[in-house]
Amino acid sequence: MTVEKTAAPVVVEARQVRKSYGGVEVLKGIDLTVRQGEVVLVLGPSGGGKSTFLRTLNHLETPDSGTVSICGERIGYGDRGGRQLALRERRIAVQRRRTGMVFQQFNLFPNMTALDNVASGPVHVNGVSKAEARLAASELLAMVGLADKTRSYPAQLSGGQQQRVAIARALAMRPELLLFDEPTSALDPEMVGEVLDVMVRLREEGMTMIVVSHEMGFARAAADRVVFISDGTVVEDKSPDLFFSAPEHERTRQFLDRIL
Amino acid sequence: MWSWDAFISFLSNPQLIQGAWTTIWLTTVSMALALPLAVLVALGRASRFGPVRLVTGFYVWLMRGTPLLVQLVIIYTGLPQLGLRLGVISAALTGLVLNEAAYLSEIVRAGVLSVPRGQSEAARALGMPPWKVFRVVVMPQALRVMVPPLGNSFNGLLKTTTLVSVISVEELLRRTQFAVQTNFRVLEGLTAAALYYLAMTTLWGLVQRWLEARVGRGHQTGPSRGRRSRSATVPALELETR
Amino acid sequence: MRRLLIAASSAALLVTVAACGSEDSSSSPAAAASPTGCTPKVGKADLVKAGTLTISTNATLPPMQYLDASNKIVGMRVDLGDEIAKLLCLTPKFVNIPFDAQIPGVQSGRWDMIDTGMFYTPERAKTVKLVPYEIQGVSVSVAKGNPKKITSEDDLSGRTIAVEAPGYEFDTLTALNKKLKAAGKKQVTVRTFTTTADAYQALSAGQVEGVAIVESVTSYYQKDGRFETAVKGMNPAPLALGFGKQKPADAVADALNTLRGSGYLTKLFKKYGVTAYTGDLKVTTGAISAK
Repeated sequence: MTVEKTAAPVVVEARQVRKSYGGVEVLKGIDLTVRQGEVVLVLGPSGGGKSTFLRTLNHLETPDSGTVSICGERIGYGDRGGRQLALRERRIAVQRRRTGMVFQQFNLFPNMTALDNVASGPVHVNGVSKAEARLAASELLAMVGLADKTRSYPAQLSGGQQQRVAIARALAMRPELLLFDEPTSALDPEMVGEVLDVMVRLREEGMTMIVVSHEMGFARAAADRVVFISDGTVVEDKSPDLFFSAPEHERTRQFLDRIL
Repeated sequence: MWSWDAFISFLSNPQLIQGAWTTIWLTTVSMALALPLAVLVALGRASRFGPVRLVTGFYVWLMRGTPLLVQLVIIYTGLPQLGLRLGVISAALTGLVLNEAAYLSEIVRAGVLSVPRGQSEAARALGMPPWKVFRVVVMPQALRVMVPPLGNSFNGLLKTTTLVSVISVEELLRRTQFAVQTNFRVLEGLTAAALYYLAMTTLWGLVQRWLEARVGRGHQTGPSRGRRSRSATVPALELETR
Repeated sequence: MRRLLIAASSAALLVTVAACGSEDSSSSPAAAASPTGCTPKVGKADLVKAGTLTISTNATLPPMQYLDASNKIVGMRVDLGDEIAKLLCLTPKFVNIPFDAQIPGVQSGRWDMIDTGMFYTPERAKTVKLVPYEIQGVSVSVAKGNPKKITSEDDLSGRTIAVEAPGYEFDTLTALNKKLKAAGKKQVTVRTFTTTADAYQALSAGQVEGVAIVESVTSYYQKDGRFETAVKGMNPAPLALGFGKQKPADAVADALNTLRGSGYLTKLFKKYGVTAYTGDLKVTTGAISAK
């Protein structure tokens, strides 16, 4: 159990999350608590379970057991007369509104302009009028440095630009929490910086973020915590300084040796 | 001996014009009804409810496994034995729609499958409920892939409608037979009819190209100056109607 | 009951077979013996095949021409064709083909003679050589019990009647509709089917209220018991044999005259309940009376 350092409210509470795929146990009981404003970097070897775990937080993956709560609300299950029953996709969709996700492959909607992509959440989820949503969207795009690309289609944008639009799209829903699933892994090196800059700015504005990434630079500069997941368990969970200078476990050391 | 007079008079024969009109509206109405049904069937086949999958799977298997001709005759002449008597046009449309929807549902399935999973994940991550994910994100993208084969189906249906003459619907071919009876100029008459079919399918080909361009919006690369770029649309565009 | 089944199955056969128009799809009646010891009255130059009289017929109309249980073409037209061939010292060969292909076929030399109960019209007489020999009127079959109480031509007003695709019956109803229109009455709705058997199927399914076809056929179906003849003898006209070439036409006309003289025609017509044409048995053109 982590020692509470601040009194900020808990945004993410994951307990004993387990998940198996075809007989292989991928998540072996993960615990994680994240408070408001924290930026957590999740590191680990491929196949270690970090992406899978991230996706259980907004129920894109269904845990076999364990609980995930966002702002106190248990995700994926509802209270029915004292019993916990699995919720239908419709209800889970409502629960997802608090969380935003940025994907490795950007996943922008190709048949919409950048502006409409960013507006798609408010328009189709919150029922905001298209005009209003587009106004807010253009502001968001300006904030990520893409004011002149509002009418462009994703196919006309570079990878870095697309990912920034994706971040704006997630922000348009005003989430309490942003999840990043290897946001820069599919980018050419020269575009990584523009995306990380946006993420750093978000941190400065107090956004709670959980980032699965290999970007060590970001870890050192912007993360409050580094969580190392390997073989389906949390091996380390400490501040970046401590993590990089004094890892406790052999597995961590091996991993760091390989990538640094 | 070919007679140009006879040929020209067939081309302008009101019988043929009326027959062509019947063919056109039969095809259009059948397609308009079959497509939504096909979407429902395709969704049904991917449903998580076993019985739904079973029923829709059975329907597709049955309709694709038996000839349209047999289906038409059964609906028109056989069902009355069980107490269900449909009028001629209703029977023709029922047969055409049920049959075509089964084939179209496979096209829809393929189209939906072609949309990358990441798309629906991104939509769900935003908080969109399932039907919105389908309508706003998946279907528009699936359509782009679906339009060429759907256009192909429309083209085929234009010609398949000749079969409804068996249950006494007077479409182009039957009407041509009428017209030919007056002077027995079979070659000129049927050539005129063939020309009408060709005109209809060619016209449809143009409509299809326009449709492909419309659903392909956003997929052209290069400077976004609102320039309509033919070359950027799906290669299948060049695969004209057969 | 069995005969209706045969007629129905022949309709189904026609839908698949007729599309190919294969000429060898039917067997000639075995009764015709290959003539020996005589000289063919029509030479090789005027026949599709030397020594053979190739005859086209639409075998979907019992008892005139239809397929029996063993898929053989039988009926009055076959009997007549066989006798004529015998007199001409030729082997008869029947080809089963829908009506609208028969005239183009005889014109282009695919068969020698059309023997299918084709109605004589002056327009047709201009495109093929016609030898009239029989008289029939158009009748209307309805469901047993005549639920719509149709007893005369005028009762057909506002009814839905089926016919075989374009043909004399269709023309008859069209002419009737002109009359009805002039009298301010409702029109007859005409539904066209590929074969008469399809038309009868539609009648038995209740999709139409009657079938218009020559009287010999409606009487046949009345005997069957499921249908009855409601209207008889509309627009009576002569039926003719059709030819592409003059020589076979003349030769057959001679044969007909012989058969008339010998009383064969009278016997044959009596057996099948049709009326004989009383005019000259020869290649005819222009208007003729239906007497």
